[in-house]
Amino acid sequence: MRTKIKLLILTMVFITLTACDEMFDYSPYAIDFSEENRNVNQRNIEKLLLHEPDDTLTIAFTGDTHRFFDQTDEFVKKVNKNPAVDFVIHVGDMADFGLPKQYTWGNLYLLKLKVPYFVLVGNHDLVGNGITAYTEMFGALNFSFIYDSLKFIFINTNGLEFKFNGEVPDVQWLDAQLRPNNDFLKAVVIFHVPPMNGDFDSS
Amino acid sequence: MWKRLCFKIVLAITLGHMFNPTETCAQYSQKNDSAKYARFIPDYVKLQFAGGIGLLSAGVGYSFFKEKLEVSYFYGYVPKSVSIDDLHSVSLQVTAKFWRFKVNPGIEIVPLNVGWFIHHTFGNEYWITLPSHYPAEYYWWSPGRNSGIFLGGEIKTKLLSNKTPASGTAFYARLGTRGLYVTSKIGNSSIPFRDIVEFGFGVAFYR
Repeated sequence: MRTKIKLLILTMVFITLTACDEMFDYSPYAIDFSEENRNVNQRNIEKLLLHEPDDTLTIAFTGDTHRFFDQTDEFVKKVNKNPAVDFVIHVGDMADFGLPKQYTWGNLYLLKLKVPYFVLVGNHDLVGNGITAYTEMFGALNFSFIYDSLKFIFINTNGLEFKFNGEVPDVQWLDAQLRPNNDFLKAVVIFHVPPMNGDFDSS
Repeated sequence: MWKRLCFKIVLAITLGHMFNPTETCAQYSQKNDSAKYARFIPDYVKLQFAGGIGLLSAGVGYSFFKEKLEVSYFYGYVPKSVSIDDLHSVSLQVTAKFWRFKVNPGIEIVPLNVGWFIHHTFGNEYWITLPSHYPAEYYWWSPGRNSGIFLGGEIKTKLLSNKTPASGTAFYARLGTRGLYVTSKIGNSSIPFRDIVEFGFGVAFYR
């Protein structure tokens, strides 16, 4: 009987360690992203800069995908069929509950994009330990790049999530970004919460 | 609403078990101190791996209705080696064990347990009630406290019973999910079921 028990235990351990490897969940807030799910924005900037600009710049724009992952998948498929698109902007709220798992699900589809993509932070993305998940997956909350003499400035405007502490949006950073120089001719500012919205820190 | 009701029922059962009116003070005084407090000693301790409530979690609890119902309280820990930030959490679990059969005098199989749990992660960012700086009903869920359900199985043995005060050792496994995952999965056929399942296993030492 003792051997039977031992065999049973060993079988259980074997099953759990092989078949169910990905099912081990330690917490809904545990962040342990794989390599492809890290530093995503920076890697896409590098990818974009390798791409030679032509006479027209085409941007596919999405946002507020929340927990509509199937639709995100459809969006990605549609963009991939359009050869004109140079890059994709996701304007935030990719993780509805700010859960690391939702970050992974959202990026699962965006990773299938043939063109570079950039994800801005939305208020939903910041719930729980979402700020850590965002930073880990995408990088800095405020970031910018120059492509084809155009400066794209992504700025965190989710003031309410930071209790209107006067630091979000970081206007000094924005000011420095917008200061004219020879590197760019025009600038595009991208934000999640618009300035006329109640969630924007108008002070 | 039903969560609150469930909690009340659990509380009532727990209190009912602790303060049994048939046992009078006179009877108490005849017992020695250890016997007096023996009834408060948990019926089991558990050590669990994964299952969404910690890399490792330790639990204590009571059995009711001839071991058909268990109420356990777990403390779980996620170290920095598996997550960017370490996480501390507690969870309350109610497990119903409907079926059980004895393979032999030493081994009992409890094949299909169903359970409900509520999990609370510690930390300011894991709030339970919407912080006051938000407009009312801004977010409908709470990151700090969420609940889920699980299915489990258990093999109860007499292991360690002759060497320690424990009456037996059990090995169990469970498959669970939580409300926030189910909500995320709804309408998304492209998300595999495997992704919303929290798998865990553990060992229980019965008093």
